[in-house]
Amino acid sequence: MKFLFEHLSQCSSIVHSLDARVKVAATLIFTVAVVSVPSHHVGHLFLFFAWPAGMIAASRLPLSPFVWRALALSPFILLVVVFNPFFEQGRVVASILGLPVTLEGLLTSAGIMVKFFATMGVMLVLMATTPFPALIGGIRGLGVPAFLTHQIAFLYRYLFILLSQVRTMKRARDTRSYGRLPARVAIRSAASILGVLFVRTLETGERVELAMALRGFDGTLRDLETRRAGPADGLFLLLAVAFCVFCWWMAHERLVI
Amino acid sequence: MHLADQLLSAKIYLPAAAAAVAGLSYCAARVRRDERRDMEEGGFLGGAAGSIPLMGVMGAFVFAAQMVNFPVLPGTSGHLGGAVLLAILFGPFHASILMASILIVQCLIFQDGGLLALGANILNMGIVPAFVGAALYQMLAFRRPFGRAFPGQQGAAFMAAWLGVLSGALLVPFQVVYAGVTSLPLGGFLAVMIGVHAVIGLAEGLITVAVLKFIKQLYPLRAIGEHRMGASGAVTLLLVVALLIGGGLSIFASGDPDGLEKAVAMSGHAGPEQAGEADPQQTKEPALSSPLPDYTVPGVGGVVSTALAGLTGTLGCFAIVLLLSYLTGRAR
Amino acid sequence: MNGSSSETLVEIEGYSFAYHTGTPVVHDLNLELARGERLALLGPNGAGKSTLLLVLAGFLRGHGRIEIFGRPLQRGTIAAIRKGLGFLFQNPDDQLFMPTVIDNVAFGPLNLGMDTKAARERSLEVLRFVGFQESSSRLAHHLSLGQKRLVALAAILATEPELLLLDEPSAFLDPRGRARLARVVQELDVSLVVASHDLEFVRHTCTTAVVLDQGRVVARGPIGEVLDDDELLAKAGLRADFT
Repeated sequence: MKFLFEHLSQCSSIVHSLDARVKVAATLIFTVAVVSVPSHHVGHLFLFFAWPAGMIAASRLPLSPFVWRALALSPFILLVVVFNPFFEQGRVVASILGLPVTLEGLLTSAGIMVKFFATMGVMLVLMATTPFPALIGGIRGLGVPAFLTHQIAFLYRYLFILLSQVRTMKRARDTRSYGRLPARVAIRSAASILGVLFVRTLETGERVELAMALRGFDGTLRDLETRRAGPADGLFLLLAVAFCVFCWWMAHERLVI
Repeated sequence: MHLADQLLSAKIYLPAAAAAVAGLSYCAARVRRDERRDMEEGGFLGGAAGSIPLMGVMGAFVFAAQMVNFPVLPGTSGHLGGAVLLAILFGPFHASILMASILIVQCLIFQDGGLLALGANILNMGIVPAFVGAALYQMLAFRRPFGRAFPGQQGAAFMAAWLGVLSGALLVPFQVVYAGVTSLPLGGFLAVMIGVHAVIGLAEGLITVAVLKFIKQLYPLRAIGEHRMGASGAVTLLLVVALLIGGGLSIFASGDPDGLEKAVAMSGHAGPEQAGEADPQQTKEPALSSPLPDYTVPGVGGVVSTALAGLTGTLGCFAIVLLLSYLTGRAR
Repeated sequence: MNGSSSETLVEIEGYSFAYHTGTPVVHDLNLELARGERLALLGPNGAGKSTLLLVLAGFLRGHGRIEIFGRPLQRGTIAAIRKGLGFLFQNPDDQLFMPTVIDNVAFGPLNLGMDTKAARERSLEVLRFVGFQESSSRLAHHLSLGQKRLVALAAILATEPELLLLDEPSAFLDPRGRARLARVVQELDVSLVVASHDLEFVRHTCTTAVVLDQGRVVARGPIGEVLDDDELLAKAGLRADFT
């Protein structure tokens, strides 16, 4: 799936061509707005979906990768919030295995799940419409310091190379394993895969150091300038803020559930 | 555990982010200072590239290494976290920055952990385990009387990794409960986190030791000199950890077993924020006298409660013992 | 930068290098490279070809005299000498360390002090020259090996070096890729040292050849002569006998 979003980000649409800084900022603002709404206002939380839905439509990308990815990620948070109805105080509406379940608890859990899907939606749209190097440039432009963004850029560049090395070594091990390995052997072989990976990585790092020195590197990484933000970007940001403020305001209206 | 945004609120994710930023900035400054010193001593070879590319690929290494599974218990396998391994090899400052970059990439590319929760995640899975692990390793591997008790530094690495992971995991229940979004009880949450991460920490310890052993066979140590933290750094760190464990728990663990329930009941429809606020205020006085009354933790009953209290007590004692051993022992 | 009037770019005299394990790699080597000369370094694995290239780039230090661009190769002169050198690594991933194609090519120019606009223009120009057809914002890890080699070549050409050092440039390329690379290298107006097993490739790109065996020079001459000397090639292990 990770590769899928990487390929999606190479497409083009009005959303793809927006400035990365603005998209990251909008994602942050949206997430803050959603998270700050009290979880039991479930109905109002659904309003927020309009934004990621609109973005997906504007980006001319298919809907299914987003849905599948969000669903695939949901079990983890589900596992945490499934216990909440047993602990939150309120009106008891059911009893499971002798333990009381409260309405408030159910609502909070439901609200958290809605929040999850809404924030996941914008996050996935961000990744599907922004190539990763541009994304790094975006967060750099928003103030994340260079030492961290350069670190991330290198990580990203060599990650897939190392991942494929791990995959190859695992395959080599599996073709000589003939079924399940006893624990000690499994540990030893896994450790050796990591050890070999480490040494190879270290040596790659040294060669990259050489290569950088040969092209005049003097300790300071210089970035190619990114494009300047245009009126479309400003408009988009304004729209995002307005939408979030509207939904947030709606959610805080005095409506009893 | 990667925290999701929906489990936190502003009063947790904002200070956590600030703490992470401060911590990372300090680490960056220390790294820059060390690099400058290395460059001045410089050499014929390599030029000025320093450690930027090396650290970059090391980040990719830990990331890729997390894909390799190790059998820990029958039926369960774990994988490397990496903070302590990195801290032992390169020092806690480099390790923190590396783990931060890994966590950010995991958040963005793999949607593992939330955007707002990054600060907390960087603290829990990066900065805290890196420093705790490094300090513990220093103490256990190089200081008397521990140096002898942990032969070959393997035992030291194991303990450092295990407790490093555990220390970061300990923070999660406090963060989630204090955020007030869910109503999960602190005691129960702590019990689960500690239980699960005691096992995960075991895996981390095993893997860290195994990898270190393997590396030392293959690679001359001159290239990866094990990092040495200053003595005062290690002690300060352990002091802080001990205080966090002891102090943090005593605020929330109440002499009045109903304290937490009462606070939660007060929340009701009034909104989650107040619950968090009311609790420490209410229970501060009695808490100071007996943090874990009768070896129980409120909100959890029976055997689990005792076990939890015991473990907490052990950790606290361990920290104190280490402290005392340093003060009385002498550095090698 | 120009030392002698005969335009000798590289002068190696009595040079020896051994790894710290003690294994000698280069023995008492004497070599000269004139400006405009395109030299093929031939020899079996372990003959010292790659090592010699690394020595010339200043990454390994042995004993003996080396002068590049008329200056002795030592700590104080390394940085300046490297400005005129271009080194193509065997593994392009080692030198394409930035995420996108254009970032990689612009790296050298930016370090030379060019401003971002000029660096970008120079990079695009060089990419066009080597025949890289795709978008310059392509992700480096999405490229095929042949494309990576082209981009790596562009990356080292972007700083307009006087001397290129190529380490097995055609290794692992398919026939079309080899031919494409050879055509680009042919059109370059630089002095070259190419370490390679690929006899066809060097025939089309080089003017002279040196055969190394166990760290020593066993033959030297115009490329045609050396490559046509079957006996010499067989003795040096360059002509494989499959029977």
